[in-house]
Amino acid sequence: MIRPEALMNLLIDANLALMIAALAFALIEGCMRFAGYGRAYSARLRLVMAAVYVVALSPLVLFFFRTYGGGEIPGFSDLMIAQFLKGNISIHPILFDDLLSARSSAVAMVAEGRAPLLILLAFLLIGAALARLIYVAMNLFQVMSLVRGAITLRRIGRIQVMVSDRVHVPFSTRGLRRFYVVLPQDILMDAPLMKVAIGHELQHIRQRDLECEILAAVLSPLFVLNPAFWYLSQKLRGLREFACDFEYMRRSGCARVDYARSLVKVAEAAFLQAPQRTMFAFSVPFVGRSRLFSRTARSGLKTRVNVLVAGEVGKPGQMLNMGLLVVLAGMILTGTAMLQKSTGWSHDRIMMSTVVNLERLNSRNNP
Amino acid sequence: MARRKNELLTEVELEFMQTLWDLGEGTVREVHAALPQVTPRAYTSVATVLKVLEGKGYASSEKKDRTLKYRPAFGRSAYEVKFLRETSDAMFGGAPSALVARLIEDENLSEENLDEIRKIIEERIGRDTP
Repeated sequence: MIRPEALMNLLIDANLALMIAALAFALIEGCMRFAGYGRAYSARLRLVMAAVYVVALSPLVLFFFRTYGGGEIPGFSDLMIAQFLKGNISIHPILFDDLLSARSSAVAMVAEGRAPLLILLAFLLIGAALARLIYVAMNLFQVMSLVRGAITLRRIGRIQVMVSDRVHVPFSTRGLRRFYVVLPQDILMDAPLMKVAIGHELQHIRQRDLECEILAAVLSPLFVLNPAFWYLSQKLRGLREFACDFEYMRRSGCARVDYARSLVKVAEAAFLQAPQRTMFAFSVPFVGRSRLFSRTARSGLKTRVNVLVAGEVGKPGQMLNMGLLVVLAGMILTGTAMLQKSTGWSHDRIMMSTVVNLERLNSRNNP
Repeated sequence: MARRKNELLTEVELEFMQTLWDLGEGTVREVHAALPQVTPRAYTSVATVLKVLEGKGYASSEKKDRTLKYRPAFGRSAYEVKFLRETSDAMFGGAPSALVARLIEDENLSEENLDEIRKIIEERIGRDTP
């Protein structure tokens, strides 16, 4: 049986690792923009995807590093203790010790049911995670129902191109073995638009965007209140669309203007004509309510068209790409290792413990 | 194929049903020819939509001389009554936003927004067309 304390520590470590990944990505992305690679969308997408995968693999990598010769990585607390012992941090030893052990004390208090406020916070987190889990489960049910109700137009290997009268925007998803590209029925009447929509969705499958999307959705309940998760998700979704647009145009030879017009056509059909098409003038609130939940606060189509107009320029070379990936992975792994709870007793830690114990004895003897 | 029978018709389906109601009955080729020719339509696309209509219970088909003949299985006036009665079905429309990659995300678009976007396209890359 896993102890609640171990589970809470695991969850805290995972959330901290994601925060470090978001910071590392933001830092490298900032450097790329500064160096003139801001419009290298594929390279930026590879970096954000790498950040997610490195976070997912970090426990395994660190375990192997520690087991096979890498030894113990000095933690953030070890560095702080060293600075304290050198006299660079002037704070009362007992207070300093309390600050260093704040996390383990908080976890222990929640596990033992001693701090009502912290327990309330833990329940809030569990509630948010459950709500997100229900949302993801409902989406899964909706996707399955849409795919089941759609008609297969064509099979290309493991990919099924389907048509549905229940959607207004083309989308792709995957099952355990098969990939599905689902098109709105209206698109059947416009062959050039259908070609662009299928090509775009096939590019998502090629880029492995669906796996990343599903991984993010499955993990989202664990990180629901972590801003770093939403920051990386937003980056991932935005960059994958930009990269997909340019890669599709490069492969198919489709002109930017035709592609941009196709996007506008789909948007027009989905978001302007669709509510009118249903002609439910007296039931607009019902339509509106169901759409409100899936609407984002700001329009992304204009940004996307502006990106298309500006073009993808300044692609970094292979060596630079590799270098950026290594630096990003190194930053995440080092940061994650440094924030983990120290288990061993170093010389500095024994010194620190002695100083704190002497201070405690002193305060007891001289109240 | 798991399809709900007698769902409301989409714009395209309604256009097909109008043609079928006018024709009385017809093959895919006849329906294809009778449809308004605003945009060119592929024969296979017309066949798919007719298949959808049959799946929804709005049309029925019968094989005559190796050709499928489609006829309406739902009257025009019956559909109008049904349309008014089932408006609340609209609540369950829309596509999921998680677990999928979509061509475009949902957004609060107005006709003005789209005009602005169209203007950007035409002014900046409008002359790119080969």
